[in-house]
Amino acid sequence: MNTRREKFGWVVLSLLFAAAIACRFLVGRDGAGQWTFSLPTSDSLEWRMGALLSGLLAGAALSLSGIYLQTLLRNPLASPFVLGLSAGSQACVAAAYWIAAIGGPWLLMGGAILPATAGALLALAVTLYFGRAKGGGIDPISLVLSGVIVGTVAAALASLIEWLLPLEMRPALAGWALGRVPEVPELSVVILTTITVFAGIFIGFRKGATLDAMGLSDDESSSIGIHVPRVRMYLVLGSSVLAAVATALCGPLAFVGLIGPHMARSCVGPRHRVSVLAAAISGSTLLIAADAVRHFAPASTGRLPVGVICALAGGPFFLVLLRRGAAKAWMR
Amino acid sequence: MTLKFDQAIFHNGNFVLGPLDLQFRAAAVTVVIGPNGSGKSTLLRAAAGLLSAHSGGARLQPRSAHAQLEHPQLEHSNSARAPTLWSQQELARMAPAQRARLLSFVPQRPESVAGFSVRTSVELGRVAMRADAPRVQLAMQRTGIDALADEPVGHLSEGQRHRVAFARALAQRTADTQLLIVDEPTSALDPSWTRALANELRHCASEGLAVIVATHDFAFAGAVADDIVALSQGTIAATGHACDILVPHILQPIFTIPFCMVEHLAARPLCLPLWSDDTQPM
Repeated sequence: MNTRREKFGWVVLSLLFAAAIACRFLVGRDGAGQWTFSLPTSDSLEWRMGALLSGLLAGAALSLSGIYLQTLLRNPLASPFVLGLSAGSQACVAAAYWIAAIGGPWLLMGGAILPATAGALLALAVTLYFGRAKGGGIDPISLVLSGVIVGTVAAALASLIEWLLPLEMRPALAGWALGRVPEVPELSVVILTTITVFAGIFIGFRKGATLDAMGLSDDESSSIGIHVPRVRMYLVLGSSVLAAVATALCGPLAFVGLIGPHMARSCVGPRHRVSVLAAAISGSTLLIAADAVRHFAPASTGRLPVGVICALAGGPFFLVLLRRGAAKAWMR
Repeated sequence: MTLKFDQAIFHNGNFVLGPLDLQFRAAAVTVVIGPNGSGKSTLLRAAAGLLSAHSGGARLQPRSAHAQLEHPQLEHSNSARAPTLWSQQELARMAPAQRARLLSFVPQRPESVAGFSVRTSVELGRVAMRADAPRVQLAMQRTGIDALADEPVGHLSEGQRHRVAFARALAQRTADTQLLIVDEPTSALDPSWTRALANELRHCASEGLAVIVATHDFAFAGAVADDIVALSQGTIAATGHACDILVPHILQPIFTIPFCMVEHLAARPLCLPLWSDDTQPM
């Protein structure tokens, strides 16, 4: 409990958070499509605030999903994208669009949240089933492998369904499928995501010690009084819903849910009581920053999807973790 | 409180342990010995309620009930306020938070997130009950890890991490705690900490706990044990008072190597394995 270091971590995290927000708030395009730093005009203010809100919520939800998955699986490589949850959501949302295209738009009345949640849960279930080690435990590396395959197949399914859609419905889905931070987010999705994110942070704060205890071996956590299967079930549901709301809002985004928790722990330490909130802030910071960086790309060929930035930045990070043997050094 | 097994059979994967008839006495240290794969860890997990008996009974019996069994004539007069008996199945089905108040368990290979500080790891022992900083501090002092309190667990040696896990079990103790179960605590400890651990286990037994320890260290077993349970291939090979079981003619067939008695190393003679076959046991 190195409180001085923890305080320093909070300061660093808050500064990064503020910098990301300021950057996204000020960056824009001039008449020629070149990026500029300027205070927003009355038109662009609404857009920038909308993008900030989307980034804040989706980043936090992804990162919370990531930290809960890492706790659930005792694996620092776990994240909603790597384990296929994001792609599972994507496939189910695409399927919902397709059903709506056939059966009538009223079928999509509930929005993308329900199919997204179903998809995330399904993908996690399949990943867990095939990622188990023979003895019944979970092997970190085969779990990640299984998740990557589930993710790839789900993404392919999503593309297939997209291809089946009538032409006029394709662009909306295609833009979403690349990952973007919407400037005009859907109100229902924003409300649901806000509730989910706050619930995620609150539970981390209240049940921090229980989540810490999930880091012990099953026998140990059970004998100090943790109902391990029940906590596991909550973690599966919680991380799936969090990944689903983020995906419904911004599409499948790579690696925010992986880097966020690591950034949080390196700032404030691994205790969940503090690291869950820090993970939410880190995730927001990362996604807002990525959304700002996107504007620096030459605009002649149109908008660069934020998903591209996330994958470009996050892929190497994952490889560094793998190289450092993070999966093995995590537990002792 | 006595933990009693009646014809209990436990399945752990393909491994079958039992049928077992034995009891772990309160206020005594019972040492479980046996070759690799004889079922020591399975027995300890069963005693900790982490495994459910496949058939047969096993019960955790309050001390007064134990007294009644020894003095059946008392049973009648006391039957109006007969104490609760927990069967092992009930122990295994009990809510973990409730079970955590009754017993502590230290596994053979403790695990923790490497980034947690020693203090955080020890505090986890009280996750299901009221926080108790003085008890946590005392547990760390008793296991000699208080100087490392702010170190991350990942920086510690194997033996130090075993002491963290043992400190967690000590921190977990409440007024209701009846059982302390420790699986092979000595394998990573140096001699001075092995001795300190032996004293600590004796101390817990003197406070009325039923202490159950598995070990391969016969010097440790001889020094700490009141009772011995010797397992072989999933059944009990021998059980009884330490001085009756820790003798060459009982241990030799179980471990298939010669043993001999050594005087003057401890308060009572020790029975230790011999390293060469041609030495004549005394």
